[in-house]
Amino acid sequence: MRRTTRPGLWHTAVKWAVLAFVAVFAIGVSGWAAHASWTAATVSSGTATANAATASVSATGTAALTTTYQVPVVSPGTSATRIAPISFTNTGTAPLTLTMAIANTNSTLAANITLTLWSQASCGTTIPSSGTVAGTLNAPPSLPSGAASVAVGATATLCVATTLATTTAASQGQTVTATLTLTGRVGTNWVATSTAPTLTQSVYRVADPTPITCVDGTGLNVGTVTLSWPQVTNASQYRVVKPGPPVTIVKAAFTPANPAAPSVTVNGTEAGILSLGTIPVLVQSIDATYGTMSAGTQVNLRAVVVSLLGLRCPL
Amino acid sequence: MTGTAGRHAPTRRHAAPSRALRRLGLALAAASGAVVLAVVASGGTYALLNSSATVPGAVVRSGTATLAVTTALSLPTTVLYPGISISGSAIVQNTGNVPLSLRIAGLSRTSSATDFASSLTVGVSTVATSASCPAVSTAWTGTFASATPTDLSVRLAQNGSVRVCVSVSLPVGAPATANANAATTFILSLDGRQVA
Repeated sequence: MRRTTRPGLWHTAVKWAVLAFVAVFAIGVSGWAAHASWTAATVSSGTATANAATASVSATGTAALTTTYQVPVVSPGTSATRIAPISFTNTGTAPLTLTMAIANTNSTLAANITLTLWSQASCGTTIPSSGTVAGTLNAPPSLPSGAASVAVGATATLCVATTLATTTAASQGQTVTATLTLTGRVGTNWVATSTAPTLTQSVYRVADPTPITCVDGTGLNVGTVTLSWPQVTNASQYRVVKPGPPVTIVKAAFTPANPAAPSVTVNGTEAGILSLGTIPVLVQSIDATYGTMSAGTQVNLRAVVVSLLGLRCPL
Repeated sequence: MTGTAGRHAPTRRHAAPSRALRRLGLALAAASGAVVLAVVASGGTYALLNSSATVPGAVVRSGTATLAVTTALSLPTTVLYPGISISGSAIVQNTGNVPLSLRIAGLSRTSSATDFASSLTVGVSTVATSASCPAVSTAWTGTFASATPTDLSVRLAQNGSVRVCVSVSLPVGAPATANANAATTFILSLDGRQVA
């Protein structure tokens, strides 16, 4: 008879022990094992506050640059230059870097006005020989370093000098109004702007003779007219022309016999009458001190037949 | 040979169940022993059930895991403009009786939403002294829109404390609409996890 061999009790126990060991060990090193730990309740740091700054700036003082350039032909001196301080004040709570832009109404004259800038507590009456930057009223320079930034609550003073770069005669009668805009920046996007009061600069021109009185000639002077007017300040001479182009001289520059009561008599030949009708003429003031001439006051004379063609005053 | 199957059969049948029971018991004992060995070998921990009972002459108390802010966070009143930051610190203490690892639990804004608030970055570090705040490098940064809870890997023993340095920054590229906004108020939340 064949004996069948069954596993003994010891072998069975060992088998189960090994299986249990492997299983539990595997769980233990795999991390699947459960870990119990405590967590402290959440605590608050307390309420903290972060405050935002304000970017704000103002520019003042530009109105002091309003002027009329009246530069003598002889010995111009300093009359071609106007100096005034402009103040840039940081009215916010963030330090700012500054830039300046100028808009104007007459680029022709603005291009002939030199703009010199420097930073100084007191600007004085003359432009310093160093430490300045220059451009024109039409193309201003960058701000000098002393006025290129302004701390919180501080004021930066920018000294500005404007100078007529031409003769008075070359720019006579022109006017430009300029508006200065100051921009303060902090970071990439924070911008504060301030538009300063406008400044107006003009160039002197002698005034027109006005009003003009016209009297018809009589007797032997019939066919002539006598024009008279009040004395014009700074006018040293006058002339009468027919407006152009081209301008035609009727009476060349003359010095009145009585400067206090200037007058002139004009005949048909001088007026160059060729036909009947209206003959417009201009009476102009001439200023030798500053080299200017007025645009002229127009008088519409009449060409009439008085035996020959002659002049009459306007009706 | 005389057959003995009939006479001896009942004895053999009674012996089989007892043998099976012995086998089962031996297996259980071996398995239990193996479990203990395996647990010890794997380095795992296991939870024991505790029960408390008062016996004459002895008291058993439960442990605690608690944190406290002994010095609240205070920031300077300096206003923020693009490109600068401010910083302040708070002191956190382990007032429980188990060691804890400090964790940033959250960052919440308590004031109204503004472009200024949404532009701010908050940084957190632990430092030795107030003079070391702000720290050169931060252990954690977040915004009011995104603040991930993060363990600072700072172990606080029982009764131990640490200075938490908090910085608030406004980036150079902060939008123009953040200019002159109202102030932002916020709370930083912290908790602690038990460690060995």
